Amino acid sequence: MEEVKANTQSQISEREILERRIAKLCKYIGRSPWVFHVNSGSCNGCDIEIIAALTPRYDAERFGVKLVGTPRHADILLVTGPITDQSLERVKLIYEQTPDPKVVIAVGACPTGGSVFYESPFTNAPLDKHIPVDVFVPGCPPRPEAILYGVVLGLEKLIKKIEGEKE
Amino acid sequence: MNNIIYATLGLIALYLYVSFASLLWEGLDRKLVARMQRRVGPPLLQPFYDFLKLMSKESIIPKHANKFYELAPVLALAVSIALLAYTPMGFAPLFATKGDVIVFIYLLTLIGFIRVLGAISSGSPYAQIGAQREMIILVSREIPMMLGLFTILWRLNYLGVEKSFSLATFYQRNIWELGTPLALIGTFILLAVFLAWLASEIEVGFFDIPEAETEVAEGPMAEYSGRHLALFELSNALKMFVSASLVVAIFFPWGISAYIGLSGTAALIVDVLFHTFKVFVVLFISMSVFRAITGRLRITQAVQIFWLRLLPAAIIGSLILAIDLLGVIA
Repeated sequence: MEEVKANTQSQISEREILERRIAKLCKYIGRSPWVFHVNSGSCNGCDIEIIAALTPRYDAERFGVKLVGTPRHADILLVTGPITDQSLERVKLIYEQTPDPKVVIAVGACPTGGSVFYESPFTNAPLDKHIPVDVFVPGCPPRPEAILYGVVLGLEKLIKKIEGEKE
Repeated sequence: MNNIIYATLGLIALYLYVSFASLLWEGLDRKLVARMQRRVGPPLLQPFYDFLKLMSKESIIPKHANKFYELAPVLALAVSIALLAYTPMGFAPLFATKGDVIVFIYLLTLIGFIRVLGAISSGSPYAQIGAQREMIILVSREIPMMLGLFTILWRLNYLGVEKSFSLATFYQRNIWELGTPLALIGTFILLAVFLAWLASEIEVGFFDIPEAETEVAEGPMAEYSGRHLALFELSNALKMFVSASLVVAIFFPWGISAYIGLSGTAALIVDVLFHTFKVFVVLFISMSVFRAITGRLRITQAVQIFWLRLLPAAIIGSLILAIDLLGVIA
């Protein structure tokens, strides 16, 4: 009983710490990370989890996260799928179309290491062979919490970069 | 000479105030809609953060864009600032003259037109589709609004006003003074038309067609990024406030400064604040609630709403007001 109570308390505080960390970060990146979702031949599993992270249950909008429809507006690229031959050029193009500063997050096992398509001649995983990736979120599919945590890590990395530029 | 300086200073003050108020409303709107959907919602100042972030980001200019691509956001913002001088803000517009309603409508339409030109100049097929949709909806929505606006101004003209067909007339005479049952019915019909027009002017709910982010990648804004996008967002916010100001001035023009017994600058400030409050109430109905309970229509359905529902409603409302004046039915 005591243990369960302590466990929930630690969960709450961890969540609070996470929210505080995001709020602190957002001061730097303009507090409004806009997300663009790149599907490079994904099976739709990770895509559903990304949508789940934006639904009222997790409500990513409270941190200013907004799903945008064009890479020109984006700050964060969420890449799903094993980067098939068809989509390779498009992924590179989308990366170039996104204005700086930007963060690339590879969501799921496919862009991380190929998953079930490992060593397939038609896929080009891992993603960081082709474009610079800031955070890998493994899982098949990863949970929405994991994706949100990945976004936090990506933003933290970006803040370090921005602060490094200033000094 | 002094007059020009004072008017210019007034316009700058108005511009600063309205950009603050309209961005604040956008934050309030996002928060309210989030609460309606049982979410926490973004912080109240989110649109300011978005604006500052966009200003500090890189602006990419596409290879296929022509010169007008960079010019369009600046022009759109300039036109919205010029529009503020002709907008009733709880007091008569700064540059109110006889017949300035034409200038008002012209400038209001010009903002949408510049957006279309900028989108076509960007050379993206998504922006082209968005621009086509924006043009179609632009042509459809202005006619019921203009019919209603001109009818009301024409009717007020008979009550004896200083400057005929000026937006300043609403602060001398208003449509509720007519008082007859027929005029009341006509006014309510036109109020409904104007609320629907407002929703389509700021492109929410049913009329979120040109900027449908899931279909045409943000429509006209598809290729804009960074500073250019920020300027467009600001001019859009100003346009939203100005459109709502028109509805407030026509139907709810009352100020409170006279009741409190203020005069001079204090009265102006109180009136502007009260006007802002009324604008927020009108936008709450026409934007937040409408956005939360409706989805996007197809462009053909939206055009049908304008030509087969709103236009006949505007004609009927105008005819009722005319019949009331002519005394055909006693």
